[in-house]
Amino acid sequence: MTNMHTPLHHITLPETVADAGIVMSEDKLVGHLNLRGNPADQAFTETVAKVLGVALPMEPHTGAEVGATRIYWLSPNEWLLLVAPDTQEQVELDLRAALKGQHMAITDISSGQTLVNLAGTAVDELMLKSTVYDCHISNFPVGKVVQTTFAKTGATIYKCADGSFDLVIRRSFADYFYLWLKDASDEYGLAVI
Amino acid sequence: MSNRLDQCNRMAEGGRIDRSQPLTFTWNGKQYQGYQGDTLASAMLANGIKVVGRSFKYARPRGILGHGAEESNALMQLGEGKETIPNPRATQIELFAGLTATATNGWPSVDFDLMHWLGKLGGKMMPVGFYYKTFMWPEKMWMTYEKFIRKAAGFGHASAHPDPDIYDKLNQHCDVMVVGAGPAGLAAALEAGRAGKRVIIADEQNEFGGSLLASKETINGQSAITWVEKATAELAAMDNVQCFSRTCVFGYFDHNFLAALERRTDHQGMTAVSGSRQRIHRIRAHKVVLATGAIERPLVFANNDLPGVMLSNSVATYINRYGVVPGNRCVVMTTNDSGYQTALDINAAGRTVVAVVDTRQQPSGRLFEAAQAAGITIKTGHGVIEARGGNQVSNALIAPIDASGENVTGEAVTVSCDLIAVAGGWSPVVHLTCHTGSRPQWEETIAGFVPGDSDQDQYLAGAITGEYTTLGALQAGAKMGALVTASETTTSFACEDESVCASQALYIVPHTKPVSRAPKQFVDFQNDVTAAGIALANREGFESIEHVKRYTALGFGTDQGKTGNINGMAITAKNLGKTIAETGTTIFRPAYTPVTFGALGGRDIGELLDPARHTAMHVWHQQQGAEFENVGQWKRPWYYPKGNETMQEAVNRECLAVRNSVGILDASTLGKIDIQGPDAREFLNRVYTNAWSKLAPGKCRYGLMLKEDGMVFDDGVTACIDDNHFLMTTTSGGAAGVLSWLELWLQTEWPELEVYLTSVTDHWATCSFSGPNARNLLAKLCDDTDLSAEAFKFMDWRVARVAGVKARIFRISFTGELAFEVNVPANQGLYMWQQIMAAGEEFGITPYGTESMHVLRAEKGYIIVGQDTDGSLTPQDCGMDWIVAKNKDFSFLGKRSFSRPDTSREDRKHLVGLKPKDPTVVIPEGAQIVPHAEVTIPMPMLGHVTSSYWSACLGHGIALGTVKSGHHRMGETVYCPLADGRVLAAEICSPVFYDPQGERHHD
Repeated sequence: MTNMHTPLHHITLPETVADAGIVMSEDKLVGHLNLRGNPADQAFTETVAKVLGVALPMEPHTGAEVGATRIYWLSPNEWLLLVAPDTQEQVELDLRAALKGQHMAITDISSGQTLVNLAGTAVDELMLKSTVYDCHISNFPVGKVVQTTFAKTGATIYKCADGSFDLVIRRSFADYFYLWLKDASDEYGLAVI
Repeated sequence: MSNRLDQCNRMAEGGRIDRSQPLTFTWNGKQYQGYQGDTLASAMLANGIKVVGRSFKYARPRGILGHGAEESNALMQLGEGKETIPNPRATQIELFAGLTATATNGWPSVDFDLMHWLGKLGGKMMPVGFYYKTFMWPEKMWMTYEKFIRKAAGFGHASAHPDPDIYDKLNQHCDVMVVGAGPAGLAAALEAGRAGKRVIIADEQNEFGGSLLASKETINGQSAITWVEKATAELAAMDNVQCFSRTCVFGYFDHNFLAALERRTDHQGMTAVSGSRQRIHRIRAHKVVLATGAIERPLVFANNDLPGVMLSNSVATYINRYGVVPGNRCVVMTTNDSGYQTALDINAAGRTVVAVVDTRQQPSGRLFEAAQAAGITIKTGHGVIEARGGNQVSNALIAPIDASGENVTGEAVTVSCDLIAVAGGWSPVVHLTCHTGSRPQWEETIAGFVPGDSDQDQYLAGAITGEYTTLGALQAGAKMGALVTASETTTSFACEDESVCASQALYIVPHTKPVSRAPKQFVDFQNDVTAAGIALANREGFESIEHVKRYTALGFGTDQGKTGNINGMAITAKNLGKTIAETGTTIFRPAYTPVTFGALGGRDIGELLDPARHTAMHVWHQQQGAEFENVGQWKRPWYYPKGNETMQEAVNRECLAVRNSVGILDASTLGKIDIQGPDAREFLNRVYTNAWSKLAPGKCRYGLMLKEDGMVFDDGVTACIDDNHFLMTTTSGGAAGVLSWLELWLQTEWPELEVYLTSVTDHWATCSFSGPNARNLLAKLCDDTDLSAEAFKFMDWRVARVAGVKARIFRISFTGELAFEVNVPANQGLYMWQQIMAAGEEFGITPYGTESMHVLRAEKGYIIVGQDTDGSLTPQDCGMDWIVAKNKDFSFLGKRSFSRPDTSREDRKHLVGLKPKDPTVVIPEGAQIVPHAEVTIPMPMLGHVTSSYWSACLGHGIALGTVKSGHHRMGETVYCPLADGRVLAAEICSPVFYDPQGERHHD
């Protein structure tokens, strides 16, 4: 769609170098929905599970996955739903219809943040530079979700099965994020795909 | 080269240097040669360089004292020009090819120093307590004194150029942090590493080994070095262990957080070829093992600062680790057995040991006997009471002393020598433990301070506890390494006999003359603090060791008194007739050794210093050449200059475009909070001053938010999406604070309210266009909605399709003109902006920035929270009583404070309009408002100007300001005296300067 510009749309190939130690990619136009509700309310949790096809994660630092949908636990009554591009409106409508009359909040924030993947042979050291959170595999196993700092901005970080990291970052901080990334990756080489 | 000296003190073999790799370096303009593996200090000593600087106060010649972090004299100016580094110690600079260093002081040269003669004057002008007295009185003279001090002494200079290097930081985490890689640290790391723990071990030296690097001992039947190499290799092979050499742990903070500086390229050259020159490791450890070792103490005696007086252990280290013997004829003075080892090492290196002067009356045992067997002259019950020489030691005065160590008991003899090695006992390196607030405790048995109780999960091993044998250190290390893994060690070690004879606790060697008359006896070399100076401080009534420190500057230097402090405390204790335990110690603060500012800054510099937040349309603003203004962390377009326009010209043009046709503003930065839940209305009733019960879907309302004290805190427009769903806007800078504030009330005070908040600030992009042609413009892009004034009223909002994009249109106005705000998901913000710009071309659509927005709203008297208010204005003070509901069921935040006598009095400062009497002037913002044109001092202040602009459409200056009782003084004249002498008169008026009936925005 030509009228769409994701937060990192202007980051293009001139930054690409061969054998880059860091590979960044923006997972463009993924749907981001913020869901809030009472985890003790079975009607809420069961209805959501039915609509989404998977139960909401209830433990801190956890996530859930089904098909193209990924769910991050954000707080005791808050979750982030990452859904396939262009489906967020339908998911919102489905949830609203199913939860009619129940107290909950669902908010489309797809344009307010973006999903970025950081991979490459130097990604672990890049994380040491960028976040105070302990990203060592013993503390940050695959599937874990952590909300923490990334340089001087915040990020929701997810450890992927291939050892890379998925980061959800805020749109207005995306340019700063990229400036930091470019600088921190300088010694490893940075590719943008 | 003719002036190249031979390495006259270099041994033919031995040491950890590589003689196949000679390195040329320059010291004070002359070229010398050293070897790979040298420090600058060892290379200088190898070349027979004795004088390395001049002292701070007396400009006395000084030589190298130690071999590591304790060094107090050998401060260098390393490198030249923009790369220069001030004040590193020669003992910690690894030699590299082409290294250039100069002395940090001494002119015209360190060997012939004019300042020495002036220094005699300086000494008189800077008596003990100089700083203390100068700081006390007279304050204004300090600037004068300071210039003199800086010129006369000073240590090195920083480059005035930008640092050519980069620095970075890593956040490290581990189970076990081991500080120090001597025998204790290595044993601990091995134990913890073998148990599978995540271990970090760091050491400031270029290679692991600590004291073992200069040791001739054996461990488990092999040489100490072999053991070190095996241990290091084993650690390096473990995936769970990180080894950092050249890494000094300089700070230890609460919760086992440590900071370490890794010198990544300092040993290769002045600047890094690529990557960072230095790196700070921010280490969070579950458990910390401190194996920081001990530093040898010098003894205080007359002229003990002459070049050629060195620490005994340092002499041994130069011999065994660097293959350098720093003297030909050596006297060793010792209070314990370690001096004998140095004497044996000097002897073995083929140089003359004139005598071992042992202050103990009857030493005995292994090392004593070994020295005797080697034919070394030993004078027991003697002390070196004075060193003599011009620029370096040429003689030592040796005299018998009594068992108390307080009196000279016989005739002194003079012996010829060029080196006096001094072994005054050991001081455990307790610095890091002090950083977390732990106070060291005096341990009589080792005559030294050891770490006191600590709140940290901290373990101690080796010499830091006063355990000075290699075997003891290894065993303690292994024990602690096992303890942190909750197990017991099974590792055993075997070393040779390390038995020692009891040492004597002696700090100052007596002289035939009293302290006040004897030649200077130095305690702190870097700050020129003498025993006589401490005595004077004590006589003047300074008894607390903290006061003595500040009065004399003892331990104030970049070495933090690593060699001098204990002696100074002991001398104070003796003067006061107390024990050292009673006198106590000062404590050490970070950093253990100096850290460069570059490293502390890391990469958070320049554009990375503070994040800049951008809207979806930022690229467009940049392309249009906008000037930007910081609003919180946001970069907002300030104004869009065209051609050679000044800012005022651009703002005039932008403002007139809005008033006459249409202008457009990027309003995306406003905070936006999505509010959902059945109690959303009630929630709004409680946090805003006005009523929200009846706001219908499709309608918007302006709201004012107060803190509990009744003062204005934030404002914005909130729209009703449906009965359970609202969208609140906040000020750009206040968004995060408002969200936290609202969550706080929901979570802690009103948990019964069924309301959820979600920030949507970044999700929506907002194109706000204003002016008589705003509707005509919108009509071109939107054909699915009736935009007529009757159907789409002021303060209405609609979902509509604009340029094909689903949007929310709000008919709200901050300019006083007919205005619409089109909100679209930010991914479509840039597209929407471009579509509006294209459609607006026929109306001459003009982008305007925050400056014009400020002018336009001021013309209408709309406040900006944070500019016109400062946390001390109530709604009534702002003339906004109309927005305060009187009859809401539930109270609202801040309401109760209105009845306080102070908030209800009539003479509070009120926000009013100010019209300059001279229509051509613009009163400066911040100008004080007074009642009379004649300025008398003091005179009552009525208030100040909060906003002031040139109004292009009105043709005169306008201002808003706070004035005492302002609402009751309409039409009165007040005055603004300016710094340039002008006094501007202004009339108090309504803050609404333009379209007071509001006909235009209701159009």
